[in-house]
Amino acid sequence: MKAPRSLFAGGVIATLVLCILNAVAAHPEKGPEPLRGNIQLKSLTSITFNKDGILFLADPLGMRIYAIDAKQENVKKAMTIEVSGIDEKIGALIGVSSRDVKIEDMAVNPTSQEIYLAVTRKNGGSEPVLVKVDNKGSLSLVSLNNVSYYETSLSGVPSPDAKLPQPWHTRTMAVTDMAFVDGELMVAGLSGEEFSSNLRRFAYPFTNQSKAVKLEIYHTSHDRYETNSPIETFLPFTVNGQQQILAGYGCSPIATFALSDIRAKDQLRGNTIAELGGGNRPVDMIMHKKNLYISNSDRTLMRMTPEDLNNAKPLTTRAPGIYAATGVEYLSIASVGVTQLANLNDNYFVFLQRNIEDGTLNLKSNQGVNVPSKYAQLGSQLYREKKYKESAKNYELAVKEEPNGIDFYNMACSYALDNNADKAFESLNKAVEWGFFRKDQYENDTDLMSLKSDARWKTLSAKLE
Amino acid sequence: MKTLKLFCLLMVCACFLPVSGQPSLVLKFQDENVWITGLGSTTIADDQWKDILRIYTDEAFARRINQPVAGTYTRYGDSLSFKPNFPFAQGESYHAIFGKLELSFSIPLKRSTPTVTEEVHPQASTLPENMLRLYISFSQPMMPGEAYDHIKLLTENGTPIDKAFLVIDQELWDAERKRFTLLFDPGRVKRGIRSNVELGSPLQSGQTYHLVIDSAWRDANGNPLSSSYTKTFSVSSAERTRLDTNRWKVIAPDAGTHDDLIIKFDRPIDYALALKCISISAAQAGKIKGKAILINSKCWRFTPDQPWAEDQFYIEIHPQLEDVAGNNFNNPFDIDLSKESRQNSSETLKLPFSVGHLPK
Repeated sequence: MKAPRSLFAGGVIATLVLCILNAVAAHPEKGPEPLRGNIQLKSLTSITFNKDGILFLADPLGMRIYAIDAKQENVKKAMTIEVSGIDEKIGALIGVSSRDVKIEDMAVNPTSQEIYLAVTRKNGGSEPVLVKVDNKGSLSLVSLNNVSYYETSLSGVPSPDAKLPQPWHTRTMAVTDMAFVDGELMVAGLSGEEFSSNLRRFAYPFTNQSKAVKLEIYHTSHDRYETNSPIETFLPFTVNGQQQILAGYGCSPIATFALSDIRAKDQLRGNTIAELGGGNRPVDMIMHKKNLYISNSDRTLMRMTPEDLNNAKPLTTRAPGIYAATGVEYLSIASVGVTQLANLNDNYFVFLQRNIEDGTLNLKSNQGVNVPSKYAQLGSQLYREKKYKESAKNYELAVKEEPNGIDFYNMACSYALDNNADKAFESLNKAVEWGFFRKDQYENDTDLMSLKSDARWKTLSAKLE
Repeated sequence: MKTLKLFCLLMVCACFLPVSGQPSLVLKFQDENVWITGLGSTTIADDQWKDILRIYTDEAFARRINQPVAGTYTRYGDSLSFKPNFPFAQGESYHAIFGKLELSFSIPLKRSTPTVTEEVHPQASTLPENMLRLYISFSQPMMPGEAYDHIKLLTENGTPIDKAFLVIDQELWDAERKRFTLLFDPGRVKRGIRSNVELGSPLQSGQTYHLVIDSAWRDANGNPLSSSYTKTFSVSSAERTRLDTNRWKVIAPDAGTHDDLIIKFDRPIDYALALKCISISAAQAGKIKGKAILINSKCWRFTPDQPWAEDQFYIEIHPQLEDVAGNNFNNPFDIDLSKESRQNSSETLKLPFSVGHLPK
């Protein structure tokens, strides 16, 4: 971990760039024209990107959703990122102490791998702020002035015309999560008045129309009674070739809904596939390298494997005790205080974590807990049997299936021991490219001894950290 | 690279060494901006100022966090101004650094009328065990992100009840942040749910509770509430049946008067929804304008703007109406799906009434 640098060192000059967002490209099909001007948010509690770098901003107090084009080209992408004391740094940037920084949501721009944070600057009128963390860990404000944007109303029901005393006639809601799924923005929310949980769908570009489905889950883990409790977090995923929405609920079932049903029906009951155990609520979820990661309010970071998710059965039995889990099994990762999660790239995800010992809030990246593929396992076994050529071949198959830094590195070791320096260097360069660049590992690994006298070692070594 | 930048910075600072006979450099805070005056002529490009004049929050300064406040730098003759992207915040201190010049300044908290917790709804002093929703209203806008730290549910003798409420990180505020919606954890309100069975319902019939809003909750200006607020209520048995207008009592006014139309409910009704979902119409006159209030959660009173005419009147009720436990006309909050299925009628209910005639 890098310690904060001295405040007044002349060489350390943080660049502060107000990012001017690109104009929203006109949609190829006939659709509404984008607006141009300043987006004036009343609140900003949820953000998400689609794969093309369109950023969606939810403003529940203003009852609106905005979309802007944040696509970036030719940006040097970060493999990993670490910003310690992220709330203090955001506070420093926007002129308040960390106590007045509320981080609402985090999303990664897939076109630049820059991290966007939706923040409320609590002191001084509770202003919504959009902050960007670039590949070097530098923070800047994202301007929403003079941009092209689309907007739509979040309100499904027109305001009643009756003259009622303020503030009782206004419709209130919270947006708990958003995701872009197959051409549509899906928004999970909760009303401040009537009790219902629904998922709204907005076609993009927005047409000022939306469709909603009321979702229920059958609390088989909790006896016969159903609930229409709000979705805390959700994401799209594919199970056995079928597109699904996976939703996490407070106290704390995980349920699935078929995307085709969400689109076809007004009301839908999902399958509860896991109960994470009572007294907890899931905070965020991501799919990373086909694994599901769940951060929690009162439990550790969890991982579920694709095999277990594919084989999930709707629950029909109660959880065996008050804090007991049932259904799809999870690995409890020794990591507490994790809140927001987002995919940084194919190899790393980023997360916010409150250090329970010193209280700091840190932005970190991690490769997750990965089960080696069958080829990697075989590669490792053949390595131990000193069959290096066959071992390398299996690692080749492993990275073909799923490229990753560790398998490229292990492949290089097998090639080096097989005296194939060309292939070994090729693999090591790939390993660096895929985020495996720990200098001490390269320097101290005896498998790579034969390569150190090669001129190419120096070039490689320069890329290590 | 670093050395080069350091060298450039030193060169830049050297440019401002006061020349005899010329006014010296002054760093000051004025009109909500930071200023340097007496710059004279410099060759510094506009985009370099951010590296030369840096403003830090008190926290960043004390903890040596290398992140200056974001803002705009503008040259006016031999002066330079720094305008922060967000106005310097009340109650904060800042430190401006320009070469060897340093300036510290503080923004005082704005003195404003203290914010008061005005009301907690439902107003009724007896509430059902499966109570779902409360509204807390304030006299002025509040600061978000702090609600759940400042609301406590206590037993009669003051023991706090853990995890009674549904925590929603985004919080449920109205557009002005003057009304906060607080939900009891539905997992603990519902029958048969693990947390209800084993953690138990947070409220028990026959007991008394205190809902306490502590004064440390800050308003939008950063000031604490004028005082703590306590709502004490007793708890009756759970209400698990759907709403039914047959159990309501309607007291019709007399024609020609401004008298109130009164609906007496059989149970406490949700405050916001009672005011939103119930309206009065007439066969000929259409929508009747007037003012509605809900008293003690169980009595809805409507005063017309115009005297009641001779007409056929209706109480129109949107099916979204709920009681304080979340039961509506279509469904009770809790359904055993093995015995019944969820109904979803969106039809407005119409309850006819006739105005009386005063004796002539």
